[in-house]
Amino acid sequence: MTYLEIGRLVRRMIAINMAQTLAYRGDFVFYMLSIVLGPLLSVLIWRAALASGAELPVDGTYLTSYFVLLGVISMLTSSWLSTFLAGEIRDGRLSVWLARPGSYLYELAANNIAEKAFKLIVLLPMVLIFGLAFRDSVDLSAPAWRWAVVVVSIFLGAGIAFSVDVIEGSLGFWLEDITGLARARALVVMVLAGQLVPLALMPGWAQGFMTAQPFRYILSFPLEVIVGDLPRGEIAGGLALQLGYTVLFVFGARAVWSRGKRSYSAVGA
Amino acid sequence: MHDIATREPLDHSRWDTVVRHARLWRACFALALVRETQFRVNILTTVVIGLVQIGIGLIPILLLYSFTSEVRGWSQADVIVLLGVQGTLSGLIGMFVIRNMWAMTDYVTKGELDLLLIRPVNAQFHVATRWIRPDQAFNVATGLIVAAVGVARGDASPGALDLVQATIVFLAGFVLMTCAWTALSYLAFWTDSVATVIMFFGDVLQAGRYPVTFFPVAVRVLFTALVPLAFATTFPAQAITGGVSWWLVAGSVAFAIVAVALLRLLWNRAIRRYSSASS
Repeated sequence: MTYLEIGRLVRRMIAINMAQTLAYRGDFVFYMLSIVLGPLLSVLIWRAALASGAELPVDGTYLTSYFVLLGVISMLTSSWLSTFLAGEIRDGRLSVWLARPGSYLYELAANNIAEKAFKLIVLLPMVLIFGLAFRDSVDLSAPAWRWAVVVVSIFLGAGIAFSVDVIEGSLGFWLEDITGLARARALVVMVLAGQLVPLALMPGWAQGFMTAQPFRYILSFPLEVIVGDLPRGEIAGGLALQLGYTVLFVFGARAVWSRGKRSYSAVGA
Repeated sequence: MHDIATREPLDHSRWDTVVRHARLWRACFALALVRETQFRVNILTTVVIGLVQIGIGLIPILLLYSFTSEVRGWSQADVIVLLGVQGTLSGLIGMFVIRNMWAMTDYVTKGELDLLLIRPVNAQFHVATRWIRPDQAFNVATGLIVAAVGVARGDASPGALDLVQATIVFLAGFVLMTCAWTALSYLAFWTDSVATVIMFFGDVLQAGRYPVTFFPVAVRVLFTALVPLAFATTFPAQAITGGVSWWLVAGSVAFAIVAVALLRLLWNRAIRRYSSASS
């Protein structure tokens, strides 16, 4: 298939996935409430610590702005395909996709984009209310170029998350069940990406590792660009490293997927 | 064994009914154990995820208290006790409650409730206790260990009465949380699916890792009255670390009894909406 044909195919798949997503619109309200709930609780807890005299390396404005934006950016960079992909492999349903001209990965990408478009519509008003409730401590007055960097960074972060998910789901070619692995990985990534606690609050001895490890670039880095005071040099370096990780994981996912398909055996394969 | 044609009619005396339901629960538990041994890898998965979850719970607490020694009257050791209590609660809910809540959608939308309603047992009891996950006992045990570690690290040395208070309040809190969650699952009688509502409630449970006093007044009221998380986490932890009044103990028991009665009323109302698979 040419790139133009792939583009047309994915566009059609996005439209189909959008229609399917609308059928579950009620469920998405609760999904999005879950996304906002964690950061909201975190803001309240860390503000309680500040009110009790805790001397943090960042101020209340950084923390509040970070957690207000965390929900949106984590949703935009998220991926949820690994258990579905492993399920298709385990149950032999992947055979149908292998007989088609377009890869199953295009369908997964289309589903990712379509759901995010709908989730954004539901999530934005919730985040707006969250931000307004803490408006005195929210500062998003970063210059336009920083916002532009964030947009690029979100796309790259989404690429890393999607590729890691493809690698994890492709383990279904060799493992019977990856559910436990996926849950454990999600919990660890919560820490490394800065979802549980901003990486700026991690102890000094861990800062070097936290800055270099790839999961920072799924979530924490774009947030740091907006709410932090990263100098231009560090932003440029971070963006370059993020691009490097994206390329690495995309090629890694492609290699594992191709290798897995060759070892695939199922009814009709 | 009795032949069906000659079987004695059921004794509907209160004692016989209680014994019959206890035997039913024991049979469900035995079946759950058999089922669990068939999926031994699942036990390993539960253990690994349970350990990771404890780590995830500890990280914010350790970080928070690296910047201060006390937050709103709670020391690090006190909050670790609370984390242990919350872990125990999560384990018990995972063991006895969640699986039954997830089943509610299928009972109603696929008409599977028909098969439970015609059995000679209380259908509400059977629906609430049918599925058990013994592997979650690991999370209950680790929760208790974390709470013990918190006690050992702190200044408090709880006496027997403190532990009795903590146990009573915790059990009342567990009943309250179960009632609140079960009530949500009964929404399946009015809506098609309650899966996401149940999932959202699971996220709310994570708030129990922190004392309610960390939150503003409105959120405290929410976690005490509407989602009675405080009874299952903060108050038992307070009983262990500093003791609570017997009024609170009596109040939590009374609140739990009222919640069970309200849940019974809700079930009776909900079951009238059930149209069954064959009607």
